[in-house]
Amino acid sequence: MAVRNVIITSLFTALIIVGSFIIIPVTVVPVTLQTLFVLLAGVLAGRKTALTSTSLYLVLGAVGLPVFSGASGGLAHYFGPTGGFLIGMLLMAAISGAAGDAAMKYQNEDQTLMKKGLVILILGSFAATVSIYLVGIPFIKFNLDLTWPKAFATAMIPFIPGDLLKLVVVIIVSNIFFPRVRSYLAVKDE
Amino acid sequence: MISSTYVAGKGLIYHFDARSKLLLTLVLCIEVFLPVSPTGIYLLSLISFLIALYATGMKQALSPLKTILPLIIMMVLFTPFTYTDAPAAITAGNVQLATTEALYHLNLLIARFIAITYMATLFVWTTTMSDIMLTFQWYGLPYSGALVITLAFRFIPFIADSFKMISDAHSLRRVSSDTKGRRRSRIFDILPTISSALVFALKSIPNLAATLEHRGYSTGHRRTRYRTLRTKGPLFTHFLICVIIATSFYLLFSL
Repeated sequence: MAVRNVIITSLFTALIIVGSFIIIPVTVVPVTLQTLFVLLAGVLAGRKTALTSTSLYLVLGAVGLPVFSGASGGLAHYFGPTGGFLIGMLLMAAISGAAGDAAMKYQNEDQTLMKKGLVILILGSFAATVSIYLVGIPFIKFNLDLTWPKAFATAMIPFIPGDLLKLVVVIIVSNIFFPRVRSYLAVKDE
Repeated sequence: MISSTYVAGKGLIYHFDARSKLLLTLVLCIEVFLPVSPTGIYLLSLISFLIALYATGMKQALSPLKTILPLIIMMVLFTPFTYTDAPAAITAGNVQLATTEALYHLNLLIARFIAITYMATLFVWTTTMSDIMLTFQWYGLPYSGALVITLAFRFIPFIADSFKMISDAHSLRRVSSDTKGRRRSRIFDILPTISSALVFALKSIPNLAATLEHRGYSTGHRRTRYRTLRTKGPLFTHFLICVIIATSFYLLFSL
């Protein structure tokens, strides 16, 4: 693994962990920022780095390190009602990373993103956000044996405003940082 | 915020080998999901709690329970709706609040949750971060993987501190006395705060990369390991104790 990849991966692992401690009161339900950093890892650093960072975050949490929201950790979180959202982060990282990698093909000469690249990033980030619910909602439904409407009402609807806000932040921030991070990663080690 | 999860304390658990401790933790975590009696799982939680209590004191020993309390409340609220066909166990007038089956499953769910949390917590409290890294490497984690984890844990306090400073600086620029105004300003501050924190973090990368390259990383010469895992007594004995504990638990409490 190249030095740059090692550092970027550890940086995003750290950012995801820090994100789980930062609570933003968007609506009545406060949101944490770890999914925002999973999205940013994918979009800015690509699929491989995002998957590695997210996997490391999940492994560290599984071992018992207090990296999940509320400074908690342990394998039990994977079997609890919100376990699906943790596992869904991997899918989120893969989709946002794939979008980031695809958008790379549509860069101008100064490495800024073309409109097509930006559209790919927006669609990819949206799909990645939806994907976490594709895993999380069936998981909470079967874990607590809820009806589908109740599962959606409990685990999705209160979080939509927060997710929309995170999407906007990801798009703006990635548009600024995309050229810098990608050009940094593109340099090969001697 | 985490820079180290190790809690200095006393007890035999601190002298138990980290590799066998990790294996025992994982095996017991799997065993509580096999058909074993809830009494056994509660006993396991109680023993883990008592070890934590002896090693670290009451305040520290209770802290994992506080962190998982919201999830336990969620289970208590939703599990009774799941099993409604069995005979009623708790009623309020004519309304059935929980059935016997619901209480049985709730009991099992909570027992498993507490047991796993306490066992995992005990492992990280009683093992230093460097020993955890060496344990991962002993189990096959590549050198670069261990380096990523070590760097991530070095980044966390740095990023967390800078994030807090940047966030405070932004909130000072838009002072608001009422709660609603403060909430609105925190939402509006997300974008500049995250951008500034990312700039701060990304600017540290070249220095760190240069430092790693100067120390020989990526040239094929790996860094010398100054620390090795030390075990009191033969490693085989530690693993044997771990196998005996896991097997005895299963034989005693399997249904």
